[in-house]
Amino acid sequence: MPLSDPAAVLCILLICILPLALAGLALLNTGLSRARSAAHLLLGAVCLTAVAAVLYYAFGFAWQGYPGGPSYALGSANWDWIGAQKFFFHGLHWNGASGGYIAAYQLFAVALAAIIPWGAGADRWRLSAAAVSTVVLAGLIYPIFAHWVWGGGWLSHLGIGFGLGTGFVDPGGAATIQVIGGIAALSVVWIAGPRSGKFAPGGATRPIPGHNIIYVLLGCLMALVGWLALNTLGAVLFAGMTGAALLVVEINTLLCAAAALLLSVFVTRVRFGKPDAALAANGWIAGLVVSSAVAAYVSPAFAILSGAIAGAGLPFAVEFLETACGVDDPAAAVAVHGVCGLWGLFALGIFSPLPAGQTLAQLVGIGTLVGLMLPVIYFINWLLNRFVLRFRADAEGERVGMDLHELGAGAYPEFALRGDDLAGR
Amino acid sequence: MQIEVDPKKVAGPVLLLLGWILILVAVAAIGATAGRWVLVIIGLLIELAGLFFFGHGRRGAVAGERGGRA
Repeated sequence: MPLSDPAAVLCILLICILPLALAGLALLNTGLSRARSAAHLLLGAVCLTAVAAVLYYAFGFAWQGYPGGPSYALGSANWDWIGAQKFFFHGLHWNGASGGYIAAYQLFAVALAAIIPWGAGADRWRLSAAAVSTVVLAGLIYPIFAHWVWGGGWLSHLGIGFGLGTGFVDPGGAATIQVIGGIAALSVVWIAGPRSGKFAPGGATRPIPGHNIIYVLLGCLMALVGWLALNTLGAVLFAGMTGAALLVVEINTLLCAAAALLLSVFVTRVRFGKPDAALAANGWIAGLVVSSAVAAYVSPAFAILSGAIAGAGLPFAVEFLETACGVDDPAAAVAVHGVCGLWGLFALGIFSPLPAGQTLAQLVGIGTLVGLMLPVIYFINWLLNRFVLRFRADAEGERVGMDLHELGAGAYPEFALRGDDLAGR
Repeated sequence: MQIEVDPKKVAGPVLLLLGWILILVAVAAIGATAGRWVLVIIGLLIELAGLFFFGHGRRGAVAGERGGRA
């Protein structure tokens, strides 16, 4: 279906702004890592963006497709075929049809999903291994799930086929981008293991603070601009919204992030005596993640409520994952993108005015992400780590830092930032 | 050839998949009744148990490795 001229111009402008979400997340990940891995983190984000975009162009979009392609019937449901498109964008018509805009939007969206686990594996995940993992994520895993949600697959047809509201709804990519990225992050930290020195022999957690909170907070502001584009594009392309209705999407995006930030600040202030800047920044991103689910469908009041619950719960989720589950995730990607993404999807079901059965449709989507996608992504990454490329850098690499080990030069060559940076050289 | 399977490591993914299958069955085979809700929630609870075992198994696996708790 062709877009109207104003909608087409809007989409092109938003696609130009969308990379700010990538830049913001990359800066945030870099700031939360050690100084000795800063250049590695930022270069890695750029490289993984490149790998994801090329793989998605070559293979991913062919698997994913978009609504209106060939379909088959099963029972009363009519599902689009997976893999109905041709490789390398062949068959796409750049004549204003929605398929071209969806393809361009998805190039950036898949890159966003790819750099989420990169932050979780900071300080020990080798760049070559991350690139191989991204090949599978962008070329196969992401497109399959995106087909189910956005390409006319079975999750999007739960409403027509089984009377569950309007089917599983994910206008801004809370499931397809954020939760898939969060699940990949969990798989990576499980496989790579915690950083050296993160856990004391008795099991106590040792804090390893991020090296530059300015990067983290600047990344948050850049991410907001990118997320406004992400959610608005999703509302145009996947929810069919136009005109002034899109203003509500942008208002909800900001309100959701604002409420989450304020609650994170409040909770950390009450618990630790002073607000924690890193957790507050993660709260802001958690609010943006939740907004990807709810912004197009709920009222501003419910957007605030959804964000507030995410922001209040985030510090506890981060602490639980670290202390009770032994998950060493420097960027808190599992809690921010995984846990809060799942909450956003559920919040959409209970707070939106969509038809009856929507909550159940959202639960089916959540069940699919956790019950199917997590073991599949973990197993593929486990195979890659075991038979293709070892994920974790060796002990010496981790000690000197990933910058020197993998790039041969540090991000801050004129500064000796930590005493143990110089030990043994 | 004998293959040793660590039940702790296998239980998590198996429970996750079982929970998902139960959710699919509830949606596909049962009409819009309360029973469908009950089965979906049971499926999600099984997945939660699977997550617990999955994480627990991985925690045991990293202990003793370099960078782990040992």
